[in-house]
Amino acid sequence: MNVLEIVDLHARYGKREVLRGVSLEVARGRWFCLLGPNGVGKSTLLHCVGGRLAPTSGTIRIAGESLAAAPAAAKRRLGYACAPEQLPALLTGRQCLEVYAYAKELDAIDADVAALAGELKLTPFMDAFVDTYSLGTRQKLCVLLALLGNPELIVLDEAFNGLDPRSALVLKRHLRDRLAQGRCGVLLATHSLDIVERYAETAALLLDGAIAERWGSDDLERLRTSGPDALERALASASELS
Amino acid sequence: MNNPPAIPPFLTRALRRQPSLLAGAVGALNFMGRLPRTRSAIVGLSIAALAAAIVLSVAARGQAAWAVRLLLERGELFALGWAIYTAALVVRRRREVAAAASRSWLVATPAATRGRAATGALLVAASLLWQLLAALALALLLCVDAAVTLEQAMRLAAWAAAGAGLGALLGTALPRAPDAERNPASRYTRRPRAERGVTPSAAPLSGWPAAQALAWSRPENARWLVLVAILSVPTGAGAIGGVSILATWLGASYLVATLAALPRVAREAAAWLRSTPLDFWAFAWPMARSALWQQAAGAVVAAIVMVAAGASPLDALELGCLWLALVVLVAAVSLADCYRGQSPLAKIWLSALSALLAEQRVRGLGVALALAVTAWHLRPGATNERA
Repeated sequence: MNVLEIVDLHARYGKREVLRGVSLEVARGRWFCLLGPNGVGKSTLLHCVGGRLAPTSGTIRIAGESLAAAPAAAKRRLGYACAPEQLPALLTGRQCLEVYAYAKELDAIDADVAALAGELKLTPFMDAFVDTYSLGTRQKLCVLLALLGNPELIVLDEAFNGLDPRSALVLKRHLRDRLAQGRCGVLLATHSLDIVERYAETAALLLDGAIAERWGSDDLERLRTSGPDALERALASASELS
Repeated sequence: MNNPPAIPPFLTRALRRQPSLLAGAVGALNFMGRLPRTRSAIVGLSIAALAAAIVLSVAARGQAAWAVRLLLERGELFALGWAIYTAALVVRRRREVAAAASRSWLVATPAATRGRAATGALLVAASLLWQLLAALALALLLCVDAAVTLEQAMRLAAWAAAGAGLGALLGTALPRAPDAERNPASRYTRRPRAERGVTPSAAPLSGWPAAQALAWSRPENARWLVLVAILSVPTGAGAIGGVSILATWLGASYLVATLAALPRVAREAAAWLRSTPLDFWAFAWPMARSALWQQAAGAVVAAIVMVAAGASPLDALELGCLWLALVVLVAAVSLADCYRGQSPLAKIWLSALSALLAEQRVRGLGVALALAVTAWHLRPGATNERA
C-alpha cells in the first residue's frame, strides 16, 4: 500500500511555475529519496505535501486521505520535519514537543520518540530555549517532532544537515527500524548520495519541476554493485539527457 | 521576463566607494520601479491617507492648538525628549548597520572594509533625515487648525530639530551596544520551569506573546524608556507619585509590546504548525488567551487610574473600551489570517486606523467598527480554509 500518492502536481510561486506535473508514489516500508540540483523544486514539492503551499492542480493522498479534501485526516498520518529556522525561538524544546503533540491530537508522547531524544543526546537541552540551540540540535528537534504520533508518512528535507556522524547514524537506524516494521514510508529530499546508496529503496531525480528519472530497488541494487561512483555517473547522465 | 533597468551611471559614480550603499540604492530603485505593479503601493497609500486623515481630524476639532501650546510652553523639555529619542535611534541604527555589515553578502570583499565607516554614517544620517522630514510634515499638517499659526508650527519643528541635533551628537558619542547576535532574544525572558514529564498541551503557546514582549524589553532597549519615564516625573512629586508614574510607563509599554507581539508570534506559530491537523480555535484561543487577559486587566487598571486622576468615568470607559476593541481586532485578524497563510499587517493597520478615525468622528463608532471587523474574521467558515 502506498503512504503517499502524488498525481500530476503543479505548483507556482506567483507567475513562476515551479512544479510541472509531478507524479510519484511512496510505498509503506520504503525509503524514497528525492534528488536534484538546487532550485528545481524539491523543497516546493515537500511544502505541498506538508500543506504549506497549495498546489495549483493535481492531487496528493497521504495514506489514502486526500490532502485537499480531508486535510486534517491526511495530516494526522503525516510527520513533516520543518526547517530548523522555523522552530519557535522563544519556546523550549520540551514545550515544542508538548505543543506539537497537542497539535497532532496525541494523548501522550510516544515512548520511542522520548527514547530517541535520549539516544540523540537531546535530553540535556530540553529545558533550554530553542534560540540557544546549535543547528544540529535544532535539526534533531525537528526530526523528533516529525516522528511524533507514529506517522505513516515521514517527510524530511535535508534532515541530516548539521547532524554529527553519530547522531546521523542513530537517526538512520531508527528510521530503518520503523520501515522494517512497516510502520511508515519515508520521503527524503537530499543531496547526500551515501544515503541513497545505503538506505533508499527507490529514488527519483527532479529537474525543472518534473521527474526526469526514477530508480527502483533493482536499479539501485545494480548501481550499488556497479562500482563506487555508479550512482553519481547515473545522476550526471540523467541530468545531461534532460 | 522583465529585465530591471541598468544601474544609472550617476549612482555608480557617486557610490563607487560604498558598494553596499550602491547595492541598497539599486535595490530601492528596483523596488520603486516594481511598486506600481504591486498591492503594496495601494495599501501604503491607503495607510498614509488614513493617518493624514486622523491628524487632520484632530487638527480640525481644535485639539491641535492646545497640544502645540503645551509643547511650546515646555519647549526645552520637548527638545530634551526628542534628543533622548534621537540618541536611542542613532544607537540602535549604529548597531543595526554594524550587524547588517557583518552579515552582508559583500563582507568578504575588500570594498566592504574600505567604505564601511562612511556607509554606516550615511545610513544613520538618512534615518535622522527621514525622522526630521516626518516631524516637519506633521507640524505643517497641524496648521490646518486655524488656531495654530505657521510661526508656531515652525517653532515646534525648530525645537524638534534642536533636539535631533543634540540627540545625534549624544548617540554618536555613546559606545555602541553589543551586537544583536551576542544577545539572544530570550536572554531576559523568564527561566523555563524544569518539568519532569512531557505531555501534549497547548499551554506553552499562551506564554509566547508575553515571552516575545519580554524579549523585546531587554535592558538595552528598555533603558531609554526608563529614562523618559524618569524625566516625565514632575519636580515636587512625592515618592509614591514618582513610582506610580514609572509603573504606568512600564505597564503601558508592556501592554503595547504584547499587542505588537501577537501578529509576529501568530505568524511564526502558524507557519510552524501548518503541517499538523490543529483546527483554528484549538490554535487561536491558547495563543491569545493569556495576552487578552493581561490586556483586559491593564485596561481596567488604566481606567481606574484615569478616574483617580480626575478624568470623567465616561471618558475612561470609552478609552478602555476602544483599547480593548483594538486589542481584540489585532488578535483576531492576526490569528485568522496567519492560520490561513495570509499576511495580516496591512489589514491590521487599515482596520485600526479606520476605527480610530471613526471614533474621532462619533463616540463609540470606532469600537463598533473594530468589533465588526473582528466578527467578520472569526465568522464560521472564514477560518476553515487553510493554505
